Amino acid sequence: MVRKHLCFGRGVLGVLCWVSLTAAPLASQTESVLSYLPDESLLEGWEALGDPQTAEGDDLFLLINGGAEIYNEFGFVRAVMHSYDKGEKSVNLEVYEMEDVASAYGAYSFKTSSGGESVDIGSEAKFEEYYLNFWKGNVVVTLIGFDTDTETRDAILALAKMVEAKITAGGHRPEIVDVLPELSSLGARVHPTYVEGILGLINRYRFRTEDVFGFSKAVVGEYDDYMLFAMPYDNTSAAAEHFAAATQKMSSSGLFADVVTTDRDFAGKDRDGRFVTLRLVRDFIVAYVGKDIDQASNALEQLTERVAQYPIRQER
Amino acid sequence: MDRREFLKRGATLGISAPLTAPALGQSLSRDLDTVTQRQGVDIAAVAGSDYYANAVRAVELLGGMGSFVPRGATVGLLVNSPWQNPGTYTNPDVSLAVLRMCLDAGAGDIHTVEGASADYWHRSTLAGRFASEIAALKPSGDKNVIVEIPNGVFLKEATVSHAFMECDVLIDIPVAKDHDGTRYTGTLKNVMGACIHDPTCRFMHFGSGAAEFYGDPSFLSQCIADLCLVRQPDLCVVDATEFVTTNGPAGPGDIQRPQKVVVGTDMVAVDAYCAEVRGLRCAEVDMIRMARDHGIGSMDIATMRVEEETLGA
Repeated sequence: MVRKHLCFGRGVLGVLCWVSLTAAPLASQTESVLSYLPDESLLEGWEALGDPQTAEGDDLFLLINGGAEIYNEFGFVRAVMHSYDKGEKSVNLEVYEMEDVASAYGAYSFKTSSGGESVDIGSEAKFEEYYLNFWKGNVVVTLIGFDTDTETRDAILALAKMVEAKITAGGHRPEIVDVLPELSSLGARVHPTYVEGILGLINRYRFRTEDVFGFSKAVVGEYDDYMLFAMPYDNTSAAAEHFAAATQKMSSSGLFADVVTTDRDFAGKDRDGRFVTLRLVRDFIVAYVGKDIDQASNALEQLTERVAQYPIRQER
Repeated sequence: MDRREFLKRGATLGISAPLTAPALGQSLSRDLDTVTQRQGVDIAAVAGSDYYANAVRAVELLGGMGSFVPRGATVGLLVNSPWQNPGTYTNPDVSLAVLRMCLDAGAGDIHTVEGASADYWHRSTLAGRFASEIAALKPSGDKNVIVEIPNGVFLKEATVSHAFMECDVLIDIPVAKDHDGTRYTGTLKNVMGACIHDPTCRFMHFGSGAAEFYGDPSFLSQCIADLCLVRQPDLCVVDATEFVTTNGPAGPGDIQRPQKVVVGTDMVAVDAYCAEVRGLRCAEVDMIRMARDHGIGSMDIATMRVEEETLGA
């Protein structure tokens, strides 16, 4: 996995020392995220609570502790958080500036699900019960309401539009996402998640808790009752090398029964009775996890066809 | 020499003189004369829309708070309170119910082991009614002790809050939510709240050489199981009312609403039960299995007496 962030292993004290030693330049960089904050005076009756909180690099851990790690895995740069209230109602705004467009899309896709309502704000804004996520350029934005009342929802939407207007960056989601079979071809609903590390992957499926694939990016398609995975590598020999290593570790892990392996395929059954099939396709490793062996064959075949059409070395 | 006296002596030695976990790990309160007879229930799970009432009833099913809190005992409440988003922190109605029950049982000083902000308590609509109780809570303070863990697989010593070790009765009050790193947070994971970040939590995340915070989930899970050898709670009161099932620990994420409060004394059993409420097989959650392997408790719920009730049904 390509590490895109500073290691937190120096600890909070180390971070604090580093922050204090570099306070002046850091402050000016961090303050740049304040420009994303909306002018709350435009939102009648709502007021900002206290001062906004900002974080740069590893000090995101000081704000959200272990919740920071997934942002770091994608390549976190800086963030600003601010709360707004109106009487008993409250909304939290979180704006994360990421390293690049792919990082922002990845964090967005990780945080969202196949449910929710699409909203025309930024790129792919989605309102899920009590919170809204969208991304635009290298920025991912989350607004959280503490109830589901119309007034709170309206405030979330209004604040989201104000923030979106302040984001000047643009860009498209990573093309690798489009390698997933179309909804229509499989007759199923799909939620794509773009991941750049083991934390993103194991929160979709635990092939193992460590990274057996040696991947730097992957796309996961969550369909109604199964998942598809596609991991691109720099070239075919790298893909073959990682496929051999991964299937060897999975075969010997004891986590899978009825294992069958060849130099291009792996099949086994996990402890929940799900079929797990891996296939080496050109410079990709692709995988299926689901309950139906016929479905596995069909879905993996379609994914294989899509991968075969994917340009070699694009976006690598 | 009882545990409190032992601690006082230990404290005079300063944190450079490590304590040994087994010497302190078994709660004194379990042996105190004032403990009343329990009713043979291993786990009580009470569902209903009034979370305060659920907590009270669940503790009653285990024999009432008087079974756990002797009159005059100091109590430590380990509440998962630092988070902000819905379903990521222990519902304060549940914590307030525990607080009120402790006071009713005649508890002496009641500490929040990890600290809990005024903002946390005021998220409850009951905060005004219990203002004096909240005001009476004592913060944990900055004092820490180093404890040796001879039977720890990876974690051989831990720096933990003095309040965690000092209290006569420890009550673990987590929320049963999703967690990116360990899949699930419950009574076992919540004990990390008793540790300061550096060095203990830092070691738990990076001690194996992992480059990322959750770079080695198996190591972290084993360290959590090791940490729980230091001291097991006298009572676990788990908020399984509303919790995130995605994007934990910070959220926001999908919320599941079983509206349950789950109570027990065996933290492994309670976590095993709650993990299944959450939709996980408990054997899939490494830290539960590893804590079982340490002898901290049992995952075999089928052999236990579990009382389930729904209030207002």
